[in-house]
Formats: sequence, C-alpha cells, structure tokens
Amino acid sequence: MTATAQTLQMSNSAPLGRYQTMRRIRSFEERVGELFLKGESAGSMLHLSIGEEAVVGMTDAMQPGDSFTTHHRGHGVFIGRGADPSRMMAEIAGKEDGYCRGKGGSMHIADRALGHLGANAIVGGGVPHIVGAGLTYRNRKTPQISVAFFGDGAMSQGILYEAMNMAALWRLPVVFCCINNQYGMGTRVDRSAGKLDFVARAEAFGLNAARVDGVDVEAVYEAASQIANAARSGTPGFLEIDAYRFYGHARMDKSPYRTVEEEAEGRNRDPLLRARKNVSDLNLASIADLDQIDTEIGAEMDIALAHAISTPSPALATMFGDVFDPSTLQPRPQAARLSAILSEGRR
Amino acid sequence: MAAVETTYRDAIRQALHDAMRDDENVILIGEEVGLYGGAYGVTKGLIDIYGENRVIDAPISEPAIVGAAIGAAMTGLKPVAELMYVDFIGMVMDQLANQAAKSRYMFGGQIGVPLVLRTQGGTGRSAAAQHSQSLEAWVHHVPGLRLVMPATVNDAYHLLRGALADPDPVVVIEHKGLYTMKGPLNVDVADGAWGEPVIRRQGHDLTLITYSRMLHESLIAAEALASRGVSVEVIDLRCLNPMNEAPLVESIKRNRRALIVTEAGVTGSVASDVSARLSELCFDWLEEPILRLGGEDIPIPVSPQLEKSSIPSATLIADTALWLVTREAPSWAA
Amino acid sequence: MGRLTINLPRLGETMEEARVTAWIVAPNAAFKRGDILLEVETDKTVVEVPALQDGIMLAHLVAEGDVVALEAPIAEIEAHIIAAIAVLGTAKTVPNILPEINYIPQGQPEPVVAASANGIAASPAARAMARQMNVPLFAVSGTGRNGRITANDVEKGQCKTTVVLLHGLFDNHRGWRDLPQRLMQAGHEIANIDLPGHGGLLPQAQDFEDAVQIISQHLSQTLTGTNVIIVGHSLGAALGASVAAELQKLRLISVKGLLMLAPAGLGARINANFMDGMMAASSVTAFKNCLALLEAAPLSDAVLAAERDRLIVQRPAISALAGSAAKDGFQQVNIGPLLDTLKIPVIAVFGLKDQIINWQDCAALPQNIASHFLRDAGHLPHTHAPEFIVRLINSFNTTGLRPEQAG
Repeated sequence: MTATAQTLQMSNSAPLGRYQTMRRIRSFEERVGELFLKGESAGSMLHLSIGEEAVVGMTDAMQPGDSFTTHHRGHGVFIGRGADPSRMMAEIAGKEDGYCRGKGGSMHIADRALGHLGANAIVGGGVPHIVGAGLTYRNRKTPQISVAFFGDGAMSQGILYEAMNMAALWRLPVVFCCINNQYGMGTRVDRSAGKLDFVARAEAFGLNAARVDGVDVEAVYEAASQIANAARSGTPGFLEIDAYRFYGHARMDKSPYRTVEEEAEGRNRDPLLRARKNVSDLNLASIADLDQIDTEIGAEMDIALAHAISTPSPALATMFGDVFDPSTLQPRPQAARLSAILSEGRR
Repeated sequence: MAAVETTYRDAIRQALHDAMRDDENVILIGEEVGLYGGAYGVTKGLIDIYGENRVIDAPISEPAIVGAAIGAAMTGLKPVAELMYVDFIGMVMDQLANQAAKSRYMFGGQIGVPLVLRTQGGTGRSAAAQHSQSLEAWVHHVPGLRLVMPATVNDAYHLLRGALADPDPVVVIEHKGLYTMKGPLNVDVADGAWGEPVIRRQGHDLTLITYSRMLHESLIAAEALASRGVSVEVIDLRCLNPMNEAPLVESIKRNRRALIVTEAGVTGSVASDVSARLSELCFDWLEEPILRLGGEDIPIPVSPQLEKSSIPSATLIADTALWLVTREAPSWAA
Repeated sequence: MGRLTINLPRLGETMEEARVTAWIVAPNAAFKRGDILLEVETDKTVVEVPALQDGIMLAHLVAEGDVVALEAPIAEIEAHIIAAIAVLGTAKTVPNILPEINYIPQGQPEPVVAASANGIAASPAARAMARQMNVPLFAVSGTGRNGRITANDVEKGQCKTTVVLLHGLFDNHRGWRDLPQRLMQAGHEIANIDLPGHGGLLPQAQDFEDAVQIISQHLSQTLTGTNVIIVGHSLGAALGASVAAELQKLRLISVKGLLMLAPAGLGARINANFMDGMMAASSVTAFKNCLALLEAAPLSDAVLAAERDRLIVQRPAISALAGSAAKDGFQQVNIGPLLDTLKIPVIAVFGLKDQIINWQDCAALPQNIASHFLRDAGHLPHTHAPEFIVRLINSFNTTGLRPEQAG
C-alpha cells in the first residue's frame, strides 16, 4: 500500500478525504468525455458533473446503509458514495461488467449494495422514491436516511412538491438535495423560476431547509451534516448546493445560451481548487502529496477507462433477462414467436 | 414550387415557420425550444423571428406545458407544444388523454382542443430505457387523439401542416434517427392526403405495412428481396389516426400475404391493432396469418449491440419476408 | 510518441457533419490532454473538440469554414500516448446499419400452432376459393406451409373424379357391361373393383363389415386426395353406402356422391331361389335359369359357361360374405340408419320388374335421397338404361359438397 493510499484511508471523513473524492469525480468525468470521443461510450447522453464536486459534502454526511436516488447527472454522487469507477465506466460503455450489465448506461446506474436506488433520466423521476424509502426506515425503526439528488431543473416538477409535502407530513428520514448548477439543460434557472428562493419553497412545506455555497465542500459538509442528522431523527430536510455546471448539458455542448464571460466567472468557482487550497492551507497535505494523489487517481481512472473499452459487451441473449424476476415467465423472443408461426415439420 | 433537397429536421422547421408566418395564433411552447433551438435543433432560429411570446421556453414542467397548451387551444391560440422525448408522455398522459382528448366530447361539442403535440421517439442512439421508446400505442388507444408519424422529409412538413389544420388534438411523433435524413421537400404537394397510406414501392408477392423509420429499413429489405425474385409492396401508414384502411385491404387482397413492421414492441402495439383490423377485413384473401415484426418485448437496453438487435433491421425484415413468401427459413429460425 | 491522424468524432446524437468555426491550437503548438483543439458547429450547436492526449499539432487538415463529414481526418498530431490507453488501439468503426441477427433465443418451450386432429389446414383464401368453386377442401392436396392448402392449390387442384364401381354379389367387374366405357367417354376415371372373394386383388371377407373395411382401405390407399363417386349395385350398393360412411370418417378421400342401383340392405326380403341357385347351380342350364331372374339381356352359352366356372371356383370365398348379407330369403344388412348419417348426395335407382329385391324397399330410404324408378328394368337397371345412369353419375359433379360439410 502506498503512502498516499494510507493517508486516504486514515482521512476518510476529513477534508483531505473529501478532496480525494472530488478529484476522483473530476478525473472520472474527464475520462467519460474521452470515452465518448473515442466512440466507445454507449450513446452520447453523458451528463458531466464537473464543477459540482462539492456534493461530496452531502455524500460524506451520509452513513453506510443510507440510500439515495440521483438524476441523470449523478456520476459524482455515486463516486461520493463509494462506486467502483471501473464498473461505472463499463456501464457507461454499455458493457456486461457494468453496474447494470450494460442495460442502463450513464443515466441509469444503480447499485443496491451501496444504497443507490437508481439514476433517472426523467426529471424528478427518482425523487418520490426516497419518500417510500423513508416509510421503510420509519416502519422498521432503522436509523437510515434516504437522500434524493436532483438539479434545479427538477424544481419545476410538480412531483417534487408532492413528495416534499408527504415527507413533511409523515416526518420521514429523508433529505431533498438540490444541486443547483444554474442550468436545466440549456435554460438558466432564472428563466425557469418566477422566484428563485428554493429554500423558501421547501420551508413552506415544513422542511428543514438550507442553501450553501457549492464552491466550499467543507461548508456543504457542515450544512449537510446538520440536515442529515435532523432527518435521521425524523425531521426531513432540503439542501440546495449552489454550484456551476462547467460544461454543457451533455459533454460536448459548448452552451451557446450563455456568455463566455459568465462561463469564465462560473468556472472560477471551482470547488476542487478550493478544496485543494484548503487542504494545503490546513497543512493536511503538501503540494507534492497532492500532486502525487492527483497522479495516482488519474492512473486509476485511466485503468477504468481502459477496462471499459476492453471488457466485453453483453451477449445478445441477455437482453431478455431482467425484464421480470428470473424465477418467473420470461419474455418470448420474437424469433421464437415467428418460428412458432412459420416453421415447418413440427405439427 | 419545385421540390428542394433538405433534411427532415429542416422540413419540420419550415412547417413551423410557414404556419407561424400564416397565422399569428400559432405558438410554440416547450423545453429548450427558444434560445437553445430545440434538443434536436428543430426550432433553431424561430425565436429570433417570432419573439419570446410566440416561441416560449418553458420550465421542465411537462404536464403544465401540455395543460397550458390545452388552455391556449381552448381560447383561440394554435399551440404547438413540444415534448422533448415521447418517453415523457407518461407524465403528461392525464392532460393528453383525460383533458385534451375528451374535452370536445364531455362538453357536448362546445370546446374543441386544436392542439399539436410534437415529440420524438425511437432507438438508435443508445439513449437507453427512458429516452428510446416507441410509445405510439399509448396515444393510439385514446379516442379523441389524432396521431401521425412522418417517415419522409416531405411528410415531415406536410403532416405537421396537416396537424395544424386539424380542429382536434394531434400528436406528431417524429423519429430521432431521421432528423438528419435528406430528401425532397415540395411544400405545395403532399405525398398523400391526410389519413391516407402511401404506397412507397409496388410489389405483388407481399404487402409490407410500416411507418416512421422502419419505412427505410423496409425499403432496403424490399430492394434486397427483389434480387431474390420476391416482389414486395411497401406501404407507409403515415397517419395512424385517421387511417384509411381501403388501400391496405386492396393491396392485401392482391398479394394475399401481409407483414407489418414496427419499431415498437409487438405486444399491444399499433401493428397488432392494424393486423387485427386487416385480418378481419381481408380474412378470405389470406394465405398466411398477417405477420407482425417489431421490437422485442423488452425495455430498450443501453448497450449498442443489444439495442440494435432488439429492433428490426433491414436484414431481419428481409429474412422474415422471405420466410413468409417462399418458406425459406432464416438461419435464426427456431 | 507517435504520429496520429485525428478524425472528426461524433459530437452529437444527430450529427453527420460539422463546420469548423475556429482552430484553437495552431500548427507546431503543444497541447495537453483535455485542451480544446478546435471548435466546430454541428447541426445543433457549437462544440469543442478536446485533445485525448498530450501532444504537438503538426498540421490542420481542414480550414476554418470547411464542412467536414463525420470521421473525416481533421488534423495530424504528434501524440504522447498514455500507457493505459496505448494498448487499446483506435476507435471502432461506425456501427453497421444492417446488424447481424444471430442471437439464440432463450430456452423456453415455444408453443406450436396445433393442427386439430380433425381440421384441414387451409388458408382463409383457399377456403374462400373452395367455397366459390364448390370444391371440397379435403380433396385438395396442400402445397403450402406444413401442407396447408393454398388458394392456388384449390384453383389447380380441381382434381378428376374417380367413379368407384361396386358390383353385386356373385358378379364381378365385367357385370357392368359397357358402363365403364361410357363413363370414361364422359371424362371420368374408373375404379372397377372386384368385391372381396370375387377374384381381383382384394382378400376374402369374413362378413359384410369386413368387406366394408377391406374396400375402404383399398380406396384410401389408392385414391387418397381425390374425389370419388361411388356407384354400387345390389349388395355393392349396400357396401357402397357403408364405404361412403367410412370414407367420410377417414377424410382422406372426398366422396362426391353415392349412386345405389337396386340396393340391398333396405328391406327384409330377398329372392331365396336366386340366392340358393347362385350358391348351388352347377349345370349351365340351372345357372341360366337363375340368371334369368335378373331380367337382363341373355348371354351366350360360352359366356354363361365361363361365368359358371368362375362362380364354382369363387363360391367358397364368397359364401361368408353372402351368408352375412342374406339368409333363408331374409336380408341381414340394414343400411337405413347409416344413410341418415351420410352428408353427401345420394341417389337410388329401382327397376320396377326387379325379381331379386323388392323395389318397394325404397320406402325405407331417408327423405333426402332421390329415387328413380325404371318401368321396364329388372335387377340390373344399368344394363337397361346405361345412358340415364351416366347422366345421374355426372350430376354429382355439379352438386358437390359445401365446404362447411366437408370441414
């Protein structure tokens, strides 16, 4: 085990650990873009969360056993909760070794073992599921919470408010975490909301709500810890992480709907650089240590990328699996249906 | 005016442009239709011409987009609402099926809803289970909704103009795999009348009925089969409601064999319904059961290989047609 | 280090080409992995193309303003290849638009379309055609999928009708005189059969029922898939009715009609003198007297002698059948109930001068059987009025079966 890896283990919940997780997210997302450019990704619907890495403040505030759902831009959240980048990248490439056996892809990664109840390509689609998870934990009296991660775009979805109302009504151990990256697809948040005070909306339902600067992962961690702890004792919460989406809606979109100046200003609010500086200022690691960490993580992600490209695609017959529980009647392949009609010599 | 070569995408934009020019009541409402120009670039530039009051960027609030369009239609505007992916239709199904479709009927003919809902579906881009579906059957099932699915550049224009001329709600489902397809557009001459199927290729051994992107796979298959001595008539439904069945019946009576090709999963599909109708109408002329060839009955997988194998290709269509007509079994016959 | 050509990657779902709007990295300039090399405008939007590795720009292969196709070369670079990626080679080719379909369906029992045991596999078009043309479907052999009958089969398969001739007891195929020739002239195929025990190919019969089975099987083997008209005389008529019923069950042959000439099996009595004489007569004279009861044209002595000789040889083989048909002047067979079950046109012909079987037995016929009475004919109406008999046989070809009855 290398020295940095030991450091990583020891400082798991501390600022250095959070920096490492954020760096892993950044490195991973950069390679997702490369996977696409190499023509090896399954499709082009790859939504990068670069600029939003301070979400690690929320994922760090969660405990093992907590569950969560994410939106379509959920790679960072899942890495924050301990995902294996090789299996994630393989899923994004649509490969058999991926988290969902090549069936789901970037927008539908899930891993029950790590509490990931599913990424979602329907805006707001996964939000109400935490209400149900909260019912489970409440009824079984387990000390778990469930967190929904979504973007500012979902703040326009009616189902979000139905879910918030239920959570508050039934005092469920859940957290609504809005990663406000200022853009719902290509529409800036001030062009999609009549009033921008999302915290007020959550408070109106009776949620324990806060807004925090997404450039500062430690501030996010502090706010998230308070909200997660309150949720664990039956006061549902809402946390808005104010961030900036560095890239387009999908990887290569240059965002013609926003100005170069705005983009430059937004990219200045880089939570990764801020965390690195913070770790360095606190003397938790030297610049050389941090460089070494970055290099090692880069290499890890290069391996994940190489793995995703070289690992095999799922066998074609696997497409019929997982529609229903394997112990039950499975879908009939079309070839079998046509054969039953057209084959000869079987009567 | 002579035909010009353009793309499916630009033909749709042309239709919107012409309709907005001709009638100031026509408005566009949807996500990203304005500044961004549409997720697939269809509405690019229209906001610059017609302004924000007529090209309306809406929040990501699909049910309210459709609901607002219904209200606008009830009160005199001619809204073209855009649902970015047909997969999102589940969210708007109440507004569409319970409100738009039933208003004229429930209110005794007083309140019609001349709404056009543009959306797109289909596979081919590894957009996975929630962005690749072919959900026309959900719409097709609802009385009170019209449904058209253009397969050609000319139809992309004319079916949208037809939808705008229709006094009732019309759902136009485009195909994401066709936007960059090039072809002739003649704004003065449609491929066929509203509700009429169009014979895209004549043949005397088999009637192949299809629509949307599968038209092109079917035409490739028909061409391949011609070299095998099998003559396939390819008919493009274009309009799923209204649908004049007469040309289909006439063709099947001549050919005695029919194959319906769709990208949608076969169970509960439009193809199943068309098959049933034609079986009823053509029963005494059939040599073989009217056969349906469609997508596998599974969600769309993200893996490109799985996705591609889960829907009909020209090869699969040709194999199946050959099996049906000449009894030559394909390699994949079980 | 390695010299690489960069091709225009797919940058959007619907992109097929792009216009180069700006080169960011100039020739001979170095760049890092992730640096933007150039900007292009796709059908949707402006897109940045980043570097996938550190390197040096050697040459731009396309200029600003150029429209470049997907996968077309855009630049030459000197690349610093990253170890983990180096082994991977270049990007795969664009997916084929005609995918191979070679998947193996999962192991699930596939329902087989069952052909019902009694059903005839015929397409709806074939059924409609058969109805229109009045062709019984089970007379048509199918050439379609799994032997299914097609409309074409019905059209082509207007198969010839075979007239099956079943002579009476003690007689043989020659007893029909010139009827077979007349029928052939009318375009019919003929199966002129010697009854069991009466010479010919068929084995001896134990009794009447046995004879029915022997004849039915023989016809099934030789005439499957054809139409037949059964013409029977006397005991041959009773056998013919029973054989028709049997063939109706077997469905291998379509029976288009049954013509019964002076049929046995309807009434109680039969001329015992004739029966006894035929079983016992040994002199030509006795044989001649016996045959006179038939009211037929006289035969030459030579023919009479030959017939007597044949009969003497065949009597042992005939006796069982004869005994099961009549005993002591009483008939042992009753085909009345069976005629009720026949779904085919049946015609009966009686000679009013019949001395062997009473023409009044016609009273036992079901109501839907047409009867003709020949005033001057005896027990052999076909020798008395052969033209008329041919006309009756021809009439079956125009009545035919409705497919509903057939199917």
